[in-house]
Amino acid sequence: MFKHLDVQMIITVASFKGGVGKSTTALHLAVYLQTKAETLLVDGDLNRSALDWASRGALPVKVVDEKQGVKFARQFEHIVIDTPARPNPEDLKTIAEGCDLLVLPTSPDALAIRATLQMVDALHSLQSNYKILLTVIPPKPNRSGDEARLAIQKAGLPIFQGGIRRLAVFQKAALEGISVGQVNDPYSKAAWQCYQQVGREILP
Amino acid sequence: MSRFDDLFNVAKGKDATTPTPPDNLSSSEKLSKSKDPNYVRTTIYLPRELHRKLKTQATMDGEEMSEIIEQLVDHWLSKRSDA
Repeated sequence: MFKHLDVQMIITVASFKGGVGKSTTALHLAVYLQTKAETLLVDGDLNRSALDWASRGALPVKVVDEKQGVKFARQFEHIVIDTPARPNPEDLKTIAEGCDLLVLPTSPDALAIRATLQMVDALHSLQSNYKILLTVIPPKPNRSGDEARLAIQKAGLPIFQGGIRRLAVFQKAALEGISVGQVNDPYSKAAWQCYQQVGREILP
Repeated sequence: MSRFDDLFNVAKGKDATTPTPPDNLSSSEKLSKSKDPNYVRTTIYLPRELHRKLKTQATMDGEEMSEIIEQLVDHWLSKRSDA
C-alpha cells in the first residue's frame, strides 16, 4: 500500500565569494548525477552563468532558472542548484535547510577560505548538511591546495576527499558551452575525473 | 521570503511527510529523522487542501507532520490486527 519512491537528492552549491568555480561545480555535479538519474540544474545565480553556458552548446542536463525550476522540479530525480554569490540571509536559510547537501566550493587562497569560514559561521545556527570542496587547486610544486586542506581538516570541518584542479580546459568548456569531459583537449579527462571523484563521494 | 522558497517547496512537495522542521530546543540533541537509519523517507499524495490543513494544524500544535502520520498509520495497523 505504501510505495517507497527513490529519494530525490537536492544539492545546492553556494559561496560567499565569486571566482571559486561555483557555477562550474554546480554544472559538473549535475552532469555527474545525470549519469545516475534524470537531473535538473537550476541556475539561481543572478549572473545566470550556467544558463549562459547551456545556451552556447549542448549540455547533457536541462538547465532552468529558479522560477522555471518550480515547474520542472517534480519531473526530475535529482536537482542541483547554483546560487548567487553572497546569498542574503533569507536565501541562505532556504538554501541551507532545504537541500540534502550544501556544497561549498573554495579555492585555496586566504580570501576564499576566509569567505568559506564566514559561510560556515552563518550556517552554524541553521540545520544544514554541508561539505567544503577545494577548487582551482594550482599544480605542483605549489602546495597551497594541500595546505588549505590541512587547515580545513584541522578546523574540524567536513571536506571532500576529491578536489578540483586549476585547469584551462574548464574555461574552454564554458566558452564552448559544453561540459569539461566533452572538450577536445588533452586535459579534458583529468578535469572530468576531478568531478567524477567528488560525484562518487555524493552518490556512488 | 526568499526567491528560492517556491522551488524548495515544490521539490519537497514530492514528499508529503515533510522532513523534520527545526527541532525544539529541548530535542536539539536528538538525531533528525533524515539521518536516523531507523526511518525511511517516503512519498504520499494528499489532496492539496487536506495537506494545507494538516500542515497548518501541525504548525499550530507545534507537532511534526511525520509524527502525526506515524501515529495514524500505527493506529490503523493495530486496529486491523485486532480485528
